[in-house]
Amino acid sequence: MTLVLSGLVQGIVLGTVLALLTSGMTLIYRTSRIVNFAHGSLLALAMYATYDLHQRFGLDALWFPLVVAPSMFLLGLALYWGCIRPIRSAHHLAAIQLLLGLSIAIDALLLMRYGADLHTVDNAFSARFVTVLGTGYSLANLVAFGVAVTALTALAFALRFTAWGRRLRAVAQDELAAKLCGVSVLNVEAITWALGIALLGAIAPLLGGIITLTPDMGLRYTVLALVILIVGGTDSLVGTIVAGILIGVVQTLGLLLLPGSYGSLLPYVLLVVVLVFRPGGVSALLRRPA
Amino acid sequence: MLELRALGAGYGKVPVLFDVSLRVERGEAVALLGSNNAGKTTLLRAISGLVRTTSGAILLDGADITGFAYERIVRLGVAHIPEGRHVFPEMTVEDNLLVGATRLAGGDRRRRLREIFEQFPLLEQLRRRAAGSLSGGQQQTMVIARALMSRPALLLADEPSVGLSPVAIDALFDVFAALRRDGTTIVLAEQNAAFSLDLCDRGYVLQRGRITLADDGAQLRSAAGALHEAYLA
Ligand SMILES: Nc1ncnc2c1ncn2[C@@H]1O[C@H](COP(=O)(O)OP(=O)(O)OP(=O)(O)O)[C@@H](O)[C@H]1O
Ligand SMILES: [Mg+2]
Repeated sequence: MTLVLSGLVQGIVLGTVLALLTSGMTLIYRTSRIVNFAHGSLLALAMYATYDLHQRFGLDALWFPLVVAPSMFLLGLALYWGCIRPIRSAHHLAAIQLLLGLSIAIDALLLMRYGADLHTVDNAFSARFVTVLGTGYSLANLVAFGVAVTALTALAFALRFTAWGRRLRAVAQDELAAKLCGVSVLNVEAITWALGIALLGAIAPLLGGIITLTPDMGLRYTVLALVILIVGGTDSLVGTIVAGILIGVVQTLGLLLLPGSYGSLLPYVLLVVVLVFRPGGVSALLRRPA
Repeated sequence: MLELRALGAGYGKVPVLFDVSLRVERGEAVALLGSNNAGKTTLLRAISGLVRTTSGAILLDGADITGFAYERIVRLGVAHIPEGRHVFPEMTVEDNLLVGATRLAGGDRRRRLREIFEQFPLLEQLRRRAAGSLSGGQQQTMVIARALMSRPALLLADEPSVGLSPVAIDALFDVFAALRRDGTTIVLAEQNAAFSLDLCDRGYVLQRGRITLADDGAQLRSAAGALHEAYLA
């Protein structure tokens, strides 16, 4: 019983972090209708950058979001203006090819630079534990959880209540009408790409206890985020959050309770179930019939 | 207010408008008549910067705005009610309206919202409803109110009466008549000639991308009647 309970807690922590990682992908998809197939590799890039900074300067990883998030923001802007905007009216496969290519290039560079060994980035809280209901949890993971909850809450609030959020939703729901209201679609898309990728940088340095660095992690996390995006219903942040937590819990409990590593297959089982029975995902369930 | 000089425009390599010249003075309401595919929508979109022009010039208050980006044209005070009911379906009525005020300064948007609610009390009652859940007439009223949120000097309206019940069309007419009284300059593209001729001082007939008639009286009415018959036939 305590095993299930602690699995549940761990699953929620993992799931919330996954939800934050996916939220950028969701925002990008909502405004530009492009799945960012480089999302996981950009996460890998941010995590390896943290590892590198840590090795070089010995500074505690807790401080790195302050550097890595703005850097990723600029990288996201550059990616949009340099690569995405020029092909945004081309066939949609062009963007997929480009982003998959970018993903493979990043993964290969990371492999060349850092080798195939596993790495982790610890921070000052990694060795401290708190006991909840008889089980000890790494304080570092709870910090990551706290940052993810805070960021998701801020994002949801901004989407709902600020002029920026209204413009973003307007572009997502009716691009022509948004243009005629004077909303610059290119600016909204650019900021969405930058912000979506900056969120990776905000959380990446804190994930040492949750995600192990391997050079092939990029594509794996892209696929996992894609599963969450689809299970969540692609058009709502709340859907992504619910789906992220669901996937995190299912995977963690599956690994705990099922033999071998069958548990890590469960997210994909869930994906198939959703696609067959509820193609609209979580957000279709949440939406009240009008 | 608005002047088009020998404007040509189209989609990609497909030309749609040829040598279109027209003038709209401040405070006027001008009808743009024409059958299906004549190019009315394309013309309004060219003015708004959504369709690339290929020749000629667009002047707004004497200044050349040819080739300006759409957001810049909105900022100059041009509002455009698009063809079809383009609401943001999952946003509330209030949020829809606030997006319409994008060109205003942040603090001014709420003030404008209150003014619009005074003008359209129905929308105030519906302010928390998702726009997609409104009736057709309510949605069209909201789209017009959203265009007015920007305090436009020039209002381009593309078939606002399409798909509305006779009662809703009457209400719509009253809204436009009130706008005229307030001095808003209006360009109205309609297949419903009765609607636009009752509202407008004069008009242009567009056929296959060319202006074939510019008139303010009987000729326009008979042309509109012919168009109407052609449309029904
Ligand atoms: N997005 C587009 N791409 C290519 N051609 C288009 C596009 N939109 C319209 N056209 C073509 O341009 C011509 C003019 O169309 P437009 O929609 O401007 O006419 P309209 O007068 O508004 O017609 P309606 O009364 O049906 O609204 C038509 O031949 C149409 O097929
Ligand atoms: Mg039209």
